[in-house]
Amino acid sequence: MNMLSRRDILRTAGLGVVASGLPTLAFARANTDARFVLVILRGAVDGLALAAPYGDGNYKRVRGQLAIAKPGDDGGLLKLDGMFGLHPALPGVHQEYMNKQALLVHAVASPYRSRSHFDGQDVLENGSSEAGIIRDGWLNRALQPLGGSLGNESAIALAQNTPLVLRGSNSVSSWAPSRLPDADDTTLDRLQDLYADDAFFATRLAQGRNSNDIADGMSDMAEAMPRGNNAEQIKTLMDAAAKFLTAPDGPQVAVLEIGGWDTHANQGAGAGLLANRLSGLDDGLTSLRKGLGSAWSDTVVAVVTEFGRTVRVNGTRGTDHGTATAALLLGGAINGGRVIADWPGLAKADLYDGRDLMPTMDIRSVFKGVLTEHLELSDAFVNDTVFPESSTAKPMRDAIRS
Amino acid sequence: MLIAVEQHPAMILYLDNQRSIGPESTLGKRANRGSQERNIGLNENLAREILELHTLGVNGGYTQEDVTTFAKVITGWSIGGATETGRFADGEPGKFEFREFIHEPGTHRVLNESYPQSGVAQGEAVLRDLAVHPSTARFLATKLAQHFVADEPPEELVEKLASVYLETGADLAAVYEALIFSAEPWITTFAKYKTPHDFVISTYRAFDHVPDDARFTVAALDLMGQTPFRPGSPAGWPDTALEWGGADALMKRIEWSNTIGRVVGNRVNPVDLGETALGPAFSENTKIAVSRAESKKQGTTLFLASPDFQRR
Repeated sequence: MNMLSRRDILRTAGLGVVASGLPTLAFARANTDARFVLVILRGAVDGLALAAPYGDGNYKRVRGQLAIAKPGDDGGLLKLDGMFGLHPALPGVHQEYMNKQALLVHAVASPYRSRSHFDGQDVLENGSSEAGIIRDGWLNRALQPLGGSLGNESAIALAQNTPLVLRGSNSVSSWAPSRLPDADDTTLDRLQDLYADDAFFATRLAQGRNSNDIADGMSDMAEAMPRGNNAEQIKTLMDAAAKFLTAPDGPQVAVLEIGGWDTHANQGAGAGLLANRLSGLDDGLTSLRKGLGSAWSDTVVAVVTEFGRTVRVNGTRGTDHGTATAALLLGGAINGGRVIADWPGLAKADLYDGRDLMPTMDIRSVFKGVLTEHLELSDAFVNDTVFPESSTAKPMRDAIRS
Repeated sequence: MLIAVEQHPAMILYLDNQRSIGPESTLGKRANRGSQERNIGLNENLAREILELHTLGVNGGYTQEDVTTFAKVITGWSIGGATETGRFADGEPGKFEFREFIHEPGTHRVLNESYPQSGVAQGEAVLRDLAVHPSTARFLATKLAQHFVADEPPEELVEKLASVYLETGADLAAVYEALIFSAEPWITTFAKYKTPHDFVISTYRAFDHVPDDARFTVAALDLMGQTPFRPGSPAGWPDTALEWGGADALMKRIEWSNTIGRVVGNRVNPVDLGETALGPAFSENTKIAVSRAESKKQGTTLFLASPDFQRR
């Protein structure tokens, strides 16, 4: 299509692969037009609120005061199918679903089963079956065939510090809004010289300068990075992601993290604490779609969380740490308008440990589906390098429009 | 100390224990008989975080069963004036308040240990045992060594600190003494990337000046991702370069260094600043870069953002 980018040249020469030191040239194919946005919701989102199984005969009983009214009722769920309804605070996502550009996956979980946020997030991000055994992230490992390089990264974290999922040997960038002016170029040049013998600082400064170059023109946005207003913060990050992903020679992959989902108390049903959070997410996703413009048609956004929450309401009108939850895929590249679930049921005997939604799908199957069908990475590369020892998690098929 | 921390009203409120109700407690039984108040029950948050973050550590050898049982043991650990009216309004606001009517009665087993005590003493007994558990010793020893020595602390030091902890029955002063008299903190220098907090405070020390307006400091820490009292998760602030070392985070430190340079302007000689702050640790490389800066202002920025000053 357009001129060869620096990354294309590197990729053509195979340098991007050789540089990372792994002899996997054979795997080095990828769709370099595809965009992928991973949104990590930290704190364990209640999947039964995100997409409620109103058609399950036990739903109203087990959810008690957290049950949301059925589709069509006042403040009720947004109908997905005869079984599931989307939380009423997600009208933008529902619109995408009606346009067949959003897909819900339910009763999904990482292999982690012990209900610690931090280990749960670790497993979600390292792509293995245990916390701590792999120190880099699956999405970083997946970057190799995309051919990024230092100063021309194929992925960016919209965060000051790179989340585990993007940490690893492939160079990635990061950016977050600031309220202070940048240091001038001569100062930065001198720092670059001063850092020359120190790879830790030199690498980060090069990445940071590159991101700031792309972000130029977002100064109004930077100033507006609001404190304590979750919805505004989400929108700022989503707008920035759109800007980076549409920049010439910009990254193909972006990761955002959004906290505040650990609803132990006063969670609310159709309205309230969780509804407000979801509403901010919905606005942010809509803003991302608008910002991506025509690139939306080649985009997949995956919205995931470390685990779900207890089926029953706890003593403080909230929910405690659970197991399976729901995940959301949306974007113009998605073959959507469907809920994918091998529904385990909500009867006591059907629950995991008698308390949580039973996982019937490995979240890695979802990621594998996106990586193989959307980024067009090879099955062998995804199964062996990106998600080692994951043969039980078969790639989810047909999630992407063919 | 552990008991004081877990009974602190801020901790109880933060981790949602004030209205965690034992299913077999007076209120629990009454509520579960009638059908109106369906939201009656346990909240596991505080119990889980005590085990995971305050004592044993996530691989410290506890199960979901231990979490649930321990949550029952500490039902009734509440705060004064938890509600404005009604059964939870008793007690002095801002103080720990034990509420017998929501406490789960009976003997409970936590970590294969039986606790026959009643009332608040039962939870305190569990905490006393947790405090001297070998997993707790190792968890705390690792944290200390990681903070004072290196992100990947030497195993021998961790073991030494853990054994002092256990031998002295969790005497923290003895553990600190063992740390101070160990070689590792003294021979491993500049192994740690400063946290934003370390960076801001050490900058103030270098200038021997603390800004009068605390909002300046809060804004600085907020910019660099360490807003005071808001660590974002009950695990508290991270302590490694892996967590703090993002590219954008470095840009924010440079921006702030630049701002400090502009604030102090030409009043400070940056080479003197480096000598004062770092003494013999002020590297030749940095000294040359700072002395060749185009202005004192820029020299100050370069010094504050230098690897010398960003590490400790």
